[in-house]
Amino acid sequence: MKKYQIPLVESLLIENAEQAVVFAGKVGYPVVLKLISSDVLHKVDKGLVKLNLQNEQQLGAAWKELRSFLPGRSEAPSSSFQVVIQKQAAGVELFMGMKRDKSFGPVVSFGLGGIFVEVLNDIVLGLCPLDKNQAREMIKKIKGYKILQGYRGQPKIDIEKLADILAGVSRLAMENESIKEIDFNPLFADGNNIIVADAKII
Amino acid sequence: MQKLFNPQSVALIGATDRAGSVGLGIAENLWLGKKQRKIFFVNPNSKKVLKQKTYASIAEIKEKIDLAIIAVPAKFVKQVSLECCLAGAGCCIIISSGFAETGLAGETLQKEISEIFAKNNIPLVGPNCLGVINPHKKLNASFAPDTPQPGKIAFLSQSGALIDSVIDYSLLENLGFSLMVSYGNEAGLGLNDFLAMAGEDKNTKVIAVYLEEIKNGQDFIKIASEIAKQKPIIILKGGKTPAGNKAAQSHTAAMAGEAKIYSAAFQKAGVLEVETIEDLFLVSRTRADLVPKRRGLPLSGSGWAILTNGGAVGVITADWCSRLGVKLAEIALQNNPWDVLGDATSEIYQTALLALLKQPDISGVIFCQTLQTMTDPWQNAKIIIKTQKQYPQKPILPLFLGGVKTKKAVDLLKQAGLGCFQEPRDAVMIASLLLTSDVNSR
Repeated sequence: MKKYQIPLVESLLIENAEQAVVFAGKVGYPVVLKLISSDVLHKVDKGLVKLNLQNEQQLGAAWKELRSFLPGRSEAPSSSFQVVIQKQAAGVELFMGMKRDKSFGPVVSFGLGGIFVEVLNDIVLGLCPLDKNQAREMIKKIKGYKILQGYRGQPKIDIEKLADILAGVSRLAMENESIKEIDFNPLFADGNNIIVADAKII
Repeated sequence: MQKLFNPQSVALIGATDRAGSVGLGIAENLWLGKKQRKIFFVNPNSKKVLKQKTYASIAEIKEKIDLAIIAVPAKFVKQVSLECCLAGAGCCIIISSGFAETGLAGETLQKEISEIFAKNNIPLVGPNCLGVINPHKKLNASFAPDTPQPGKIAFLSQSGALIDSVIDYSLLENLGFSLMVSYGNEAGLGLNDFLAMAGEDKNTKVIAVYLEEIKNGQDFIKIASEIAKQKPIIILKGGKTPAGNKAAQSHTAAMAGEAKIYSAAFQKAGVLEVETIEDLFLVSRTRADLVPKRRGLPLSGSGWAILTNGGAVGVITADWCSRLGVKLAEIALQNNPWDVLGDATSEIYQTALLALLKQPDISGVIFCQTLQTMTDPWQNAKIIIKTQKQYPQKPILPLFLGGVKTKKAVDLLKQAGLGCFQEPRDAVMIASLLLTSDVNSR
């Protein structure tokens, strides 16, 4: 992902509570625990993401809830589950993605993210290849662009960096034909601090 | 291209005198160009069509055939195609339906036929199409119920039925066409090829397209973006309902619906997308009348002027400008809308119109006319036509409110190739689309 200027949040696959606590100690609280599996695509709906864990107690409780899904447990519905820990990112929740159209080839998308993606449908599309200038123009087209410019005292988001990432998604799609779909949701943007908190590449 | 749009000899296979048939429709349309080219009717079962001698097959015709038109039932098309290739036809249109649009069997047959033409290196239009029309050369190789006037607009349409109605509409509206192509199933030549041909055609100043699907999107963007630098391309895309997204596994795939992808593609190609059939032709007409050096280039100036003899229509028009994002210019020493008042004579209108067009930062003028006692619609229409010729870079959009008493003037404007609007929204919509297309093609 570095090759394409895509900043992924630091993550670790964990097998026990101790690993989680050590990781949290290193990156600092709050942290997120996620149950991942190819069977669970919309994690929030299923309650399988534990956000904003502020301390060791909350982390421990979250771990207990999620570990029941892990292989070897009787309740586990399948053996394909794993638990990942990440630092909790903050800022405006954004969204980037890519899909391949049978006629036009790869198409990238950008919009307001998180759980609002489907509710607001504030999304713009661009056909690849997309250079940084085109990516910037595309970003400016969302209805919620004012939110990125800093509203009510919120920090102004680094559009240049966002454009780099979006152009990176375009390059990733152009250079890797085996990738069918990409979903970065959410992508957190806090001033010039921009990070992909959840990436799905199919 | 010459052989398709200006053939010296045409053979119609499937010509017939049977009333209400496709074969008769094409025969009659072709016959309009009997002075321009040789026309041969092929039908093994009848001796005469339109009182002309027929041939049992294309092989019997001694002369070289530039264009062969096949209008026989689908089951005979393969055999006739082979005969056309053997006879060395320059190009071929298959009007017949019953191919890929009907299912798998039809698709297989279509593939076999397209391979025959490809192997013989003969360009193929169709199958399942209305045909092609070149009014400048009196060529109507279609079964459309009428022939359009010659003009500057090329109309490429996936739908043949739409062309039929557009021709009828164009005759009423005095809209002329340079080319009309119903490209059907695209077994041989497709939309991209016809775009390229319309791009090269000297009579074509604007390309209007109706489509539902683009088969090779990446080629389309390359070709369309090259042509759009020279000639505006205006597209109406049908079939915008979300489809094919059910199997998508990610948010992106589910949300990047087909209509949005097409819109993104049109934007990338610098093509203007419109939402209604009327807008397609109103924009095409206005674009076609802008002078060559401005065509495809941005309009000069930074905003529009509204000229009116009635406060209300000026206000309503200004409201629409605000709603549709059309910028209004600052008019020197006047308000915008500029109200020349109800007793404005044609001379007053003309003086004001000239002043506006002379002002460099004005892109174009919406000329509003309400029908008051002093108003002379006929004279005003003449002024607009004359002034538009003087200032061909700046569109004048006539907005004549009224009915019976304005009709003659409206017709005069349309005959002169200018549009005329009777509803403020329509005029402003066109102004907004003119600006959009310029932004896109930059």
